[in-house]
Amino acid sequence: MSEPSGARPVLTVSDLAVFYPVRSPLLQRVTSYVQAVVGVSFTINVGETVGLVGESGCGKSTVGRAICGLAPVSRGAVTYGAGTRGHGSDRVQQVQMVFQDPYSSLNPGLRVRDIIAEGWSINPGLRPRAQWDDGVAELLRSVGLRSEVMTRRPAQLSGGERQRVAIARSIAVRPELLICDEVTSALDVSVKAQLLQMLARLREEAGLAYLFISHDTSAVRRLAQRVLVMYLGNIVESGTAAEVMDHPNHPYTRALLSAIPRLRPWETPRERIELRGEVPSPRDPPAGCRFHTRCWLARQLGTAGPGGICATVEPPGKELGGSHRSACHFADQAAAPHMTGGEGK
Amino acid sequence: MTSYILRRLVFSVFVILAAVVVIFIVMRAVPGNPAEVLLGPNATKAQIAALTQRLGLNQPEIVQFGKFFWGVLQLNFGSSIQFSTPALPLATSRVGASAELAGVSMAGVVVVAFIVGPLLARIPGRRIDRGFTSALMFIQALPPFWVGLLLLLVLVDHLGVVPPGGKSGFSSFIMPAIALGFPFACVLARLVRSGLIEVMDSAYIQTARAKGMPEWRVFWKHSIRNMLLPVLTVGGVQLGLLFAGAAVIETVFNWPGIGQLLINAINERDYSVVEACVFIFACAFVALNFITDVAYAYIDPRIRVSGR
Amino acid sequence: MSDVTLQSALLEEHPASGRRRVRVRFVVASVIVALYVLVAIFGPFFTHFSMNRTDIVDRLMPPGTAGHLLGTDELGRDMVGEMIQGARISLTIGIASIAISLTAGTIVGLAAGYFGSLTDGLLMRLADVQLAFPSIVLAIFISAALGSSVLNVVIALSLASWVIFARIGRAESLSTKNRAYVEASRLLGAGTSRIIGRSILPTALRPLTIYATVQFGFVIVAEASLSFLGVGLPASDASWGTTISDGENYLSQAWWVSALPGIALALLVVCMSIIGDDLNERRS
Repeated sequence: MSEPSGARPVLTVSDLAVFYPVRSPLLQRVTSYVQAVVGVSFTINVGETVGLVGESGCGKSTVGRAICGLAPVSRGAVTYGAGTRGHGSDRVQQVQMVFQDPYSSLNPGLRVRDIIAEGWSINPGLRPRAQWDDGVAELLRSVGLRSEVMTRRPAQLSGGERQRVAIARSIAVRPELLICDEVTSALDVSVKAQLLQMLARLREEAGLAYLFISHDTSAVRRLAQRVLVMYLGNIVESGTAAEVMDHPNHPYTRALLSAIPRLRPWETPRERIELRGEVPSPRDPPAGCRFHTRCWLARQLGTAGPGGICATVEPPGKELGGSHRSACHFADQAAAPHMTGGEGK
Repeated sequence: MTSYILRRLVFSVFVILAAVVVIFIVMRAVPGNPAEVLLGPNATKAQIAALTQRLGLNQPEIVQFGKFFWGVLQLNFGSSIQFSTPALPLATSRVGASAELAGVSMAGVVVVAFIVGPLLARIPGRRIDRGFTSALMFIQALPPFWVGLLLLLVLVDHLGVVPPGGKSGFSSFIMPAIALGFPFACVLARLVRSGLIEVMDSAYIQTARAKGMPEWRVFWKHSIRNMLLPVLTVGGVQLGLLFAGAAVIETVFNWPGIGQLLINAINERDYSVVEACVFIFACAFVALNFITDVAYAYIDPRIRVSGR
Repeated sequence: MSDVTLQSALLEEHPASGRRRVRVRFVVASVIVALYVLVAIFGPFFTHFSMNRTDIVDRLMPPGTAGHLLGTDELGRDMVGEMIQGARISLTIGIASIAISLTAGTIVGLAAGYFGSLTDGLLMRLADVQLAFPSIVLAIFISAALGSSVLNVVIALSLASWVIFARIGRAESLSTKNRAYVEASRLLGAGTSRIIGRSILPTALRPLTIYATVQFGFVIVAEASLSFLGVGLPASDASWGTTISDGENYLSQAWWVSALPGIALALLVVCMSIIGDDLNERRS
């Protein structure tokens, strides 16, 4: 993976929190909040790809949606570019998003050409109408589709083709940042690989920055330069892709990565870490470290019980060298041999 | 479940009260002075003024509404101009006849639908099936009052089989019940038919057959139960519409129900009775919808959660 | 009635066993409806007898009499003329009522579904209150209150019909507004009107038009019922309903006066139902 190519931030997220109110059915009084995202901060630079991984329900999609305005920001700030706040039509050109479900992300009543040109239609200054057809053809080529596709309707396309059209639609307005929210999750393996290849190539050609959200850790490894790991609304580990994925530190990351199927498992033996314990609800997250109820390390060390440090104190993010940070009380001791592995099968 | 029932109940009461407001608004939307209309074209100005005063029509709208609403809460709709008896009890006394007619009609509808429906479901050949469905649709499209007239013509004038109208013995129910119910019978029959077809072809039915279950058991144990839900849904709505359709049919057959009372009252400008009748219709309809909603929620738990 | 009730009623009818031979029925039905429209528009130019010309000598002539293809009524008026007049009135009232209620109902429903919260609450409460009354009773009530005229009947029937379109519009709006392609449009900078117009309305049009055909049938039968009862059009307008009513006293002698308009009415209604049915089957 190449070095981050520009020092200018395309996106700065500071202390982002997203809370959804829960209302009582009859009177609609707010009874509690679902804490989807709590205190998330990171930046993305020009041309950089940041991967955001975690299990379902950890809040990674919500982060993506909050960044582009589809989810409410309860606290914290989202800033585009170097300090300019994106509003209205400016935001259109700063961030775009590609969604997970190829079957509902394209308007079934429109032809591909109109779908892709939608951004130009809404924002007339971007491209004169006379050049739309050429523009659409060019975009289709750059996402790996033949220009004849432009007269078709979504119903006539496969899942992979639809995702490509969705991507073409998003980059038509030349955003600086493209948020890919589980874009490969609904596709089969071979199509997945092609799409990732295309995304990598596109990034080079268009100088795009990506926020690649996925629960597929190998896809992230392939595409991202930096990686953020989320659990229950918090970022628990961050660093370059090599740092986080080859030398995971946080117990959750280690468990997550241990589950990746390997091609030749006999070559690099590794114990599969299983997580036990109740999966907490974001409405009522555990005190202290949010992961402590399922943390194999805390159980091993005996710090998960009431009064133990993991159950009472929220772990600060600890620097581990380079850009690698991990939010665990025992981050600096993680390299010690007796700390690796877990309860196993 | 209880919270759902409670919510629906509160909602229903609210709707009825709001309906009362609507009744008031519509009645007062009548252009011109009701007193004038009541007294006819030969009334003098003095007579009109006196009646206006007596009916309280010269007071501000809000005051009139207040009095009306207060009266309704006490179930007092005023007196009938034709009969000089309280309007609401008069209307309620007629509900019985309408309800009986609706009940008999509904029973007939269900019987016919559950006989015809399964028969239709088993028709071989698509063309014939299409033909029958189209025929059913045509029958369904016939205006009920017209069918009523036709029945009168055929069964009374030509055949003299049933009494010509009014409510007497059981045989007097036949014509109005048919005239009232036949469109619903058609709808229900088609529903039963399509429900059966869908279920009969489904995977678990084929499994049952493959296991050697005899056909009649397949039919009763599995098919009927599963197709009951949409039938019940539509059925509940239909019963309400059936009751409403009575207004027209009762007029044709001179049936002493609330529908006939309403039409007469309209023609005689008997406002209190009109209001009382419409109120009763609304209450009955709301009550029926409530029961249907609750029954449906009982069967399909998803409804209770969403609340609507 | 809850929305689920409505949805299941709408979805009903045709099991997934895919009958594709509907075409013939649909074409025949459409042609018939087109004929009705043509007759209604151009008919008066072709009939030799003027609409209200009465001819006491020729009263109550059966169909097939020379010069009176469908016979005459109790005042000697030609039945063909009566039927054509009835067609004009029914089609006018039907189209006008549906156009008004469809437009108003769709706007209200889409807005309620899209904007949610207060707008939704308010508009839907209004709809619920109206749904407390069975449609025909409401139509009778309003029509009686307003008086006998074409306009008042249109008003009454539009008022009785808008709610169902609002319900459908709202349901469609709710289910579409959170779809990914709507969010994508929003991200591309689309404003509210564009989203409703380009993304939500087109999907809603299908169930709306299907229901419009059904409701059209209800409206014209309702108008006939109202006129028959004497609360619809004035007796001087030869609506099918008034003609049937006129013929009521002569049923045994001259059945055709009441019978013919009824058949004409039923045929129009069933053709509209077939059209709606076919539209429903087509894209499912």
